[in-house]
Amino acid sequence: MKKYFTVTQKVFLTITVFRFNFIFSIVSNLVYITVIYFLWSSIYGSGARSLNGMTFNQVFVYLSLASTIFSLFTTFVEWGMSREVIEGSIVMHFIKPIDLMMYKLFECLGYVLLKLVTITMPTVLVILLVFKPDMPIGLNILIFPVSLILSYFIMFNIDFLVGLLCFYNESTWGMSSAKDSIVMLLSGAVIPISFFPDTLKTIVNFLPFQAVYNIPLETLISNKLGTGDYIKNFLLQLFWILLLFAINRLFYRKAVKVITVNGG
Amino acid sequence: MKRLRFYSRLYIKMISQYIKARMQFRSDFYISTFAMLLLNITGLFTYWVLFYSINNIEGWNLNELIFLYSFALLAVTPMQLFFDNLWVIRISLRNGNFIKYYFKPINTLFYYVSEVFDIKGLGQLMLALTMLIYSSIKLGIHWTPLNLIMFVVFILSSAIIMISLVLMAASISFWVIESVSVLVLIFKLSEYARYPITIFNGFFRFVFTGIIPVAFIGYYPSRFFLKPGSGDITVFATPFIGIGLFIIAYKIWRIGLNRYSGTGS
Repeated sequence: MKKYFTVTQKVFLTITVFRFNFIFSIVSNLVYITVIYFLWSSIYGSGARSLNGMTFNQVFVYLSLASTIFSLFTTFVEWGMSREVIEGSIVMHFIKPIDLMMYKLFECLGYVLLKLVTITMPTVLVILLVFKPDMPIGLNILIFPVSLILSYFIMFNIDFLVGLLCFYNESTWGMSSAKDSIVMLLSGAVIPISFFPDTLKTIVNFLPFQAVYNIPLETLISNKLGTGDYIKNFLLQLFWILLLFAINRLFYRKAVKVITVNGG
Repeated sequence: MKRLRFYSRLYIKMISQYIKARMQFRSDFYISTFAMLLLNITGLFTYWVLFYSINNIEGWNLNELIFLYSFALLAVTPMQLFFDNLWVIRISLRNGNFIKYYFKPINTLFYYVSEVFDIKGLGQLMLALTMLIYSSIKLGIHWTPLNLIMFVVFILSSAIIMISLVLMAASISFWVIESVSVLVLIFKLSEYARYPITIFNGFFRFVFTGIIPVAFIGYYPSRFFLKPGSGDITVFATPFIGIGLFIIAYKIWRIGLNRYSGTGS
């Protein structure tokens, strides 16, 4: 009887542990949002009503949502892939009639949905309730979720690409952190793209990262975008998904050949 | 004194073994160092872009903010270099390996942290030093001998504050194994050290000065060098806060140690 009790206790513990981490990731995000609030209110405090076409209110909503979406999109794909390579369990994927990329995608979708309900929605509610954003209400509200879903597919493709690069070396932390920094810097997630100097703006437009954060966030917040812009952005996001997907497909065939599984 | 010699000899031995082992993964070293630099550039990049649109934040110009930023970065580097093993304490606690640290006649905390020396932190050290020297030349700071001594004292005290905060967060693992999110939170909070505390309202100023004293990791010491005429003596509390906090953190660590009973494997 006692051993069953222990098992029950273990399950219980796992759940509590899980909850603890969940609560803390919400707190972490709110802490970050607080610093954004104070930093930007002191930047705007010196008299400026609008900088680079954005009001304080818009910048705050933009950056706090970016940070919330960032924690939503973090699914540790590359960590899982490199661990499986090191452990050798990756071969299990090759003998099953399931495609590795699809398997990972569906695994992540479950994780993202769980986080969406438990972390993201409460955080967004807090932001909306505590801070009344002045954004246009109309077509943009409907297009935002669609754009966000496309963003996730772009992000997943980037993650998977980094995961494949991890087949070639053992530096998972390095690859993953470098990816996070590059995405954060060039996507507008730490500072809105409209603040970038012109040359940098041009460069960033040719990269997939701004399609992950800037496009959905601008869709939601900006009142300067028309239907034409929405279609253009939609096509651009689609283009990046297809391009990155094609690269992943080609690269996957090559990368699979370099795996060395030690015993197991 | 004999103990100190013994421990430092032991440390050098353990770390050189560790580095030899790590150097087998040469590409990991390069990639991690690169990633570490990128990670730290994120904050500087924000300032750099921001200052295209504005010319000061709360009366701090770009070079002053770079000084503040790199002071805080330098102050957290010792934690990064010497205490990186605290990040994975949850793993050795969960799989039971942690029990081995009880069986050696040396200090448990020393034994635990001296297993890892985070080589990629050297990149961070170089970046912080470069930015500090760059900004202090740009700002024309007078480095008198007294100033230099104060600089060393403040950097060491700030470093101890950061180490103590991380040690406390890691010690939570003894109670709730999965403590990684607390560590992440402490890291996020330590990033607050990179901003002038005057951007916050009274409540947060109080919290960051008196409760989670991250303002002593960057803001107060930097202001001592950048705005010497301010006449505020809060900065001189830094060493005492460092020592006090470390004593508390070490106490918590000891209580946690006595609480852990292994996994039975």
